[in-house]
Amino acid sequence: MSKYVPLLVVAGVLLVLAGVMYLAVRQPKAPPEAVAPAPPAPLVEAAKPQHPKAPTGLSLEGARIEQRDPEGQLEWSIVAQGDLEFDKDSQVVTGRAVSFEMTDKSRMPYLLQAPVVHADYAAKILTFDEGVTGRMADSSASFRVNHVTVNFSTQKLVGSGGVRFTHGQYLATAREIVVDPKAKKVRLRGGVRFERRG
Amino acid sequence: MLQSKLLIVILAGVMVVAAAAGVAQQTKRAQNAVVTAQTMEYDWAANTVEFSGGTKLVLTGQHDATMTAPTMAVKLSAKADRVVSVVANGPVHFSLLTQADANGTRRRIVATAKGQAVYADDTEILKLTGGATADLLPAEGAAEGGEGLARAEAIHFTGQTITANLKTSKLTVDDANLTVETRAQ
Repeated sequence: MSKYVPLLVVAGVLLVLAGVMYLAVRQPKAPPEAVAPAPPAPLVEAAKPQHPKAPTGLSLEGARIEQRDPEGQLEWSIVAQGDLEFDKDSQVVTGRAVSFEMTDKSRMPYLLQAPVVHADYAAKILTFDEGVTGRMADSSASFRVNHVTVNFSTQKLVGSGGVRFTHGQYLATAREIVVDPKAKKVRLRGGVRFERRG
Repeated sequence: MLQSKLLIVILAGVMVVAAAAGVAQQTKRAQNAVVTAQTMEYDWAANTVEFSGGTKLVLTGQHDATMTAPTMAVKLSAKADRVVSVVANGPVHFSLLTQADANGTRRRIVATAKGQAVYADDTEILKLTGGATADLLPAEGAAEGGEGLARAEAIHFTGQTITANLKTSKLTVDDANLTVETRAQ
């Protein structure tokens, strides 16, 4: 009996060590309600950006991205009807069939719709592609353009290629459009043509 | 001699009225206006549109008219369905081909201003200020069948301000100088 005691002690110690190692290595599982808050399939993709390295100020909930200022006021949001994917290495969110809303009421709120958006958190730039439509929140003006970038910091929108800007009964065409919400101005550049519609 | 001078003044007056009437009729077709420029800036708060860089306004329709200036500011109505006012900053060049008068004669008005040109839609007044000039010229190739005397006249106005009231078809020149050139037949 006594000659098996050391073996039992060693076996017990090994068992305890194995248990400690298992507990140390084991990853805690996310609560199930955080993974699937919304019904459509693309929203599962949208849950991936809940990575510990996600940039400060970014919150993802289902297929919606929000950007808030340091005081917590909502600056802009993106809603994706299609897939929303986050690349943790490049810090880029790619969304398809998206609606973008610049919500700061003290400035010049506007909305965009585009087939695809890339939100580059490293460069602090949103890029909309494949044909973008936009309008002022009060519907006073609207525009179409091939390609759009929005700077996070300045909130300035720069669009290029086949610009068509409509205001009331008037239509303006140009090569480039700049929407400056802080200055509450829209600038068109390059071969501007302005005329009454119809 | 006195009769000849009087005749020239009367003819000049008739031409000015006819030209102003042409301006008025042209303005009524202003819905065919096209502005081209290098840049356009829409002020969302003020509801104004400002053009700059080789700005050119072209009116098309039965008559031809153009206005060029380094910058033009257009004030739109609240619904943006009509132009309330236009301010062109100088040097401003304005050219208009009038409709044919009773004699079938068409004339070209060429006006310039070093200061600015302001058009107000409610009063229908176009005002050129700052070294304004206006030439009333027989339109080349546009006076077929017209009277020879009307074709041959060219009138040159200079003044600090030239005002065209498009409602009353009246052209007013402040501090005016008038030169009438008669071509030899």
